[in-house]
Amino acid sequence: MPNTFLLIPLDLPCSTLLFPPPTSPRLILSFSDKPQNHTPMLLASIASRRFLAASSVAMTAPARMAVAAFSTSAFAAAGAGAGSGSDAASGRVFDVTSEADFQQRVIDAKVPVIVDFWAAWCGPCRALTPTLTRVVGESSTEVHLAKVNVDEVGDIAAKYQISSIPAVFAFKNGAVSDQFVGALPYPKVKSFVDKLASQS
Amino acid sequence: MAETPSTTGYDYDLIVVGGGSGGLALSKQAAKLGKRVCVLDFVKPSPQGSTWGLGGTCVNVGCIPKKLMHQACLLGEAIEDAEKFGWEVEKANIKHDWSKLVMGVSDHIGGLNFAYRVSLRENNVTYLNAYGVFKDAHTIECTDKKRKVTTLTAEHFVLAVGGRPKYPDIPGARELGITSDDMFSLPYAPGKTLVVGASYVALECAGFLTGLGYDTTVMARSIFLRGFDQQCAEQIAAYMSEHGTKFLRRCVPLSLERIEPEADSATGRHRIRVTWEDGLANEPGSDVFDTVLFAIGREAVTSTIGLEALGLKANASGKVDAPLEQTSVPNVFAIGDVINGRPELTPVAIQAGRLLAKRLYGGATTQMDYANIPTTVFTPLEYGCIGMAEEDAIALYKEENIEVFHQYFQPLEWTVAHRPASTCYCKLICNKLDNMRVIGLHILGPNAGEITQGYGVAFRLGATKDDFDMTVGIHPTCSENFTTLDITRASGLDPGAKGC
Ligand SMILES: Cc1cc2nc3c(=O)[nH]c(=O)nc-3n(C[C@H](O)[C@H](O)[C@H](O)COP(=O)(O)OP(=O)(O)OC[C@H]3O[C@@H](n4cnc5c(N)ncnc54)[C@H](O)[C@@H]3O)c2cc1C
Repeated sequence: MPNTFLLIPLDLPCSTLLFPPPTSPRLILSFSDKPQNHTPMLLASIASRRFLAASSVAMTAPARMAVAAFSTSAFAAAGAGAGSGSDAASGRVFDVTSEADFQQRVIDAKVPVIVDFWAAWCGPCRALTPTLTRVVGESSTEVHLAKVNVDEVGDIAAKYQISSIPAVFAFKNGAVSDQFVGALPYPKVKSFVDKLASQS
Repeated sequence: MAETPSTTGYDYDLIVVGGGSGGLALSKQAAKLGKRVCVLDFVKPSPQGSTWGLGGTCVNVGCIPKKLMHQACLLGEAIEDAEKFGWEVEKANIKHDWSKLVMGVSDHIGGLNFAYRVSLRENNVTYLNAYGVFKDAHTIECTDKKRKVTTLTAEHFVLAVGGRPKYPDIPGARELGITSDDMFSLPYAPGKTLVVGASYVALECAGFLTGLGYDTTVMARSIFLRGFDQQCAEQIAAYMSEHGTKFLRRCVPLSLERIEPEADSATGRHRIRVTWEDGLANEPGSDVFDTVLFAIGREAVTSTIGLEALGLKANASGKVDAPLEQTSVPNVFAIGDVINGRPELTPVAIQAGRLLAKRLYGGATTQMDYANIPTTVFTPLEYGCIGMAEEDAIALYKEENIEVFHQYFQPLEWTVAHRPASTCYCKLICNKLDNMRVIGLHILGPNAGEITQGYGVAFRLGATKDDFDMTVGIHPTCSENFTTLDITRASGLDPGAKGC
């Protein structure tokens, strides 16, 4: 497939990607002449970590880095990959940006909240987050999914003594009511979320 | 944070400047001994903009990514062998995907960065992602990413700032060249690559790049692997050359220039014209490369950390004198790559750090032993060694007082694979004046790192040639050759591989 380059809109709604684009604006790098080989997870993984500085170099001087992208079709696939759950979930799923944000949207929340501690480099997280997103979207009771990137808001991870990810906490009325570690399959995630939802 | 307040009136008992191999090991050890410890770790981006997380050189841009890329290269060779062992391999379909390798490596490193943060937290060590600059012997100013400045005091300081790659002072080097700081996270496939330097980093990178299928040239001014046994160094280069790495010897780069203003949209690379002085020709040489990697040595970055406020002086490579890990300022210590005259190796930094913490806070007296440190160069043909190079042994003891035992061998795995019989090599250098004590051990072959490690213990115990001879081998291995060496260099007999 030829390289049909496309700049990823920096303000892309998070729910269209399985993982949110990085919080600050930057371009994403293309790594291959076969964009369809790159999943959106890969994209986020690159963008949110080691290539930050590199990609900002690319922005200023289109130096050695390919300013980049994904073909339109790969992009559409990314949206499809997120599944119908993500549409339903929009509004229920958000990224925690700071401790204050966590306080407001998790601790002080009126609805039960699932907190997903994840990182871009973590393979099992890449498997779990879409499942969580889907389950939260499907829940008949309103349940929120708060995503905490342990590399970006590390203080929260430290507070909850996260030593292994993915780590998932269920919050109700500001307190942890349940938790698990590791990428559980859909049915288990569903019963975890259902249990929290039924307590409300 | 530790519950016990500092008993000294300072913010911390110990502030460690640099959270690399040495700094992390030392800080955790000091905290285990009940001290209030803070680690500062901050990575200034490379000229190309690469930056990384907690853990220092080894984890992010050194040992870890390079060994993983070496493994990628070995796996490529293994595919070739596999066919000879009966696997049906469709050669036309074998390709390597650089981005996938980088991704796998980066993900592993991301996990390690996180694990280090967790382990500092679990050991009650405070971690600040901030750059430290000394104000006086007990005060350091810490500046974080957001330019927020905090001033902290401590009774003791440890310099564990490590090193960074050097650039040659030629036009285009910093703008167009990369170093090992960028290599392992390179966002585009390197393509035709020029590796400048003769260090182990240069040869290792050139080795795996060639193995991954990139047209790779090494440009070296003089000898390879200075300080290592030169016979072995030449054999490494010969092996690489047979496997497709090109060598430009007695050459020194003069300039790098960009050919087109824009990077190629398909590859993401710029083409770079390199011109060099060719010691063997009258005219300068010139060629075009996609990537130019400088691996011409490293320097400790101590010019920006306020050494003058301490009254400390660094040498030309930025290193400080710290015999017994203590600088000339009594409460300021140093470990790892920043120390003058010590091997630049991760386990050295770790060991020196742990022992220093135990001496400072645990009542211990054990000093770091820098002698006979085993090491391995992870070129496609791995090279492990302990102790002296043959030329160093001759210089120190005179040729007539040393005996060199050597042997080429063919690993069993190479026979069916039809790999060459006289490529792998081992040699023991013995001191005739001291009961034939083994003072140098060298091996070129697969898994040299795994082989060499164990003999490090034998060296600590002062093994003699007789001890090696009395040791029973494990058959069939490469390492067993050390137990059966009987050909001396002096005898002039052929050390070529023996048949069965
Ligand atoms: C390509 C390559 C391959 C290597 N392969 C091997 C190998 O196979 N085996 C091996 O044993 N060794 C290897 N090494 C060497 C090994 O990486 C180093 O010896 C080791 O990392 C040294 O540890 P250190 O603690 O001294 O410093 P480093 O690990 O370099 O850590 C120093 C840290 O301090 C930070 N820092 C510096 N100044 C400041 C400041 N003022 N304030 C705050 N933070 C600061 C730096 O950013 C860095 O994070 C390799 C090195 C390279 C470059």
